[in-house]
Amino acid sequence: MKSGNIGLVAGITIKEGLRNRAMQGILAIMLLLCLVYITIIPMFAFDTGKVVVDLGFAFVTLAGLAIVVFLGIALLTRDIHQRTVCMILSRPLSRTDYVVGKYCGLAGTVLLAVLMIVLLTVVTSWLGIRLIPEMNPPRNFSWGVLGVGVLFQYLSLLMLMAVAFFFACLTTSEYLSMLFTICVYVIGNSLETIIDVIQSGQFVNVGAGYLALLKVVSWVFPNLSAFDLKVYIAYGLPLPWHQVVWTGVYGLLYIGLLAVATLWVFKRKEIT
Amino acid sequence: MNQAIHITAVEKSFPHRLGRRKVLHGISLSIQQGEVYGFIGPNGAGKSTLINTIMGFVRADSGEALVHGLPPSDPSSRRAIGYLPENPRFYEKLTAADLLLFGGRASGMSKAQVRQDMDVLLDRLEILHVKDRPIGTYSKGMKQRIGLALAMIHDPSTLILDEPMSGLDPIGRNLLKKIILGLKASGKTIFFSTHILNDVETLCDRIGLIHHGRMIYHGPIDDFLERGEDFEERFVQRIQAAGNV
Repeated sequence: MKSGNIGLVAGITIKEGLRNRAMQGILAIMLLLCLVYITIIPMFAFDTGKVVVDLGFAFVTLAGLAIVVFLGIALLTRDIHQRTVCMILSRPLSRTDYVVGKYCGLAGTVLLAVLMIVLLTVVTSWLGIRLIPEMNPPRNFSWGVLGVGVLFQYLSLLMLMAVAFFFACLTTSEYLSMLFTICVYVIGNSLETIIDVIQSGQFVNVGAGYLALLKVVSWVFPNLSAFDLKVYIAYGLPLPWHQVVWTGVYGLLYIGLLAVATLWVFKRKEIT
Repeated sequence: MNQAIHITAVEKSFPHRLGRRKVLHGISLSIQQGEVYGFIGPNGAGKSTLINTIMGFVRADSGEALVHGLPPSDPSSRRAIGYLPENPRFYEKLTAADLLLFGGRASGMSKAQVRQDMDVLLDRLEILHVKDRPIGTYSKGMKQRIGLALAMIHDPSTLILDEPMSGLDPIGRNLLKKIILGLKASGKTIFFSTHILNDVETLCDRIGLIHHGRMIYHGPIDDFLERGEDFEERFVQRIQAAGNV
């Protein structure tokens, strides 16, 4: 694995990604949504600060998810199934250089998109708070907590992209990869809620063994809801740093392990 | 003379229905440095599979393929190779300049060196005027030429061209023939597959004829032809004689 080669692959991936119509379309839709967002918020009677955070993060998630699923998977599967990858692998580059470079390139593309949307949302919210009397800032707002929240949102998108890469290398169809990735996204965001409902004991009663199994599964899938820090930003709560650090380590380890699995599959894949 | 490509008893099969279908049956050949070698055979004979094996895109079930003494699993084996796939595909939003910059840099050239050589090469291939246009806007023939430019940007000693004439109009084919002859004159090794036989006679020193994954001839063109015989006629005769082996 050579960093220079990885940088070259990442570079052309970012160029291709940013010039892609899907990417431009997603950003254009986000711009429109921001305009809609500023008109919706004053309709809420109370807690507009929470609504600002919720909607802002929903845009980041939506755009990130769209980029990972529609751009990331499409670029990778087309590389493999339409043999565009031959253009790269016919140079003195290893398959590891290709996979890591492609992942870094897409991670860079997603980062640029996330930063653009965050900036757009922050500017829109700031203008809204200044100009619309019904719109209030989140309580005890902290830029630091917002930064960590955005970073975690980005990390959860990187985890999802690692999942998408794995499926794109494993399956023979772009649509199957998209379907599996969306399933993992839904499961990864829902299992924590299901566990909370079970633990509350109000609606359903299950054995301790089943609950323990569900908890393990929720971290295997991956646990994307653990990366959601909106509540801390919206209510100005102090971040539980111990939990935040461990969640970050879990995210990075998850990406690393999945990258190893993806490389194992891709190194054995025949490009015919 | 040193061997640029050396293939020994390569066998390859692919999954087919419930079993496997063998597409290469113990192929052996060697190509000397500075030689132009035409790899011919009907459609589906196994030409592209052998090239994919040499490039490391597929793995041989058994046997060995060496490029400048290195196995395809070693990325360094591709340092001295320029490869043009059959129906080349590119990142459609990149320009020719972006693509050649990537290709040259990945093959160890400096940015300045690539920029310097790029214009000369694109001019030679008569596509300099579209250098800064996205490749997605190119015609099929122009894509074939940019594929060739990508294969040649790092001035490799060996070129592996899979059906290089496909998709080219007569003007494009004529240009490509001139380029191949120019490369031959400068001592490059060229291994190219084709089923357009006219090109083979004018360009190649030696040929390999493959049919149903078996090598049925490997040697000089003159030995392949009997006195006064037409190349195409001889080709058909050899294929028919080999039958469905």
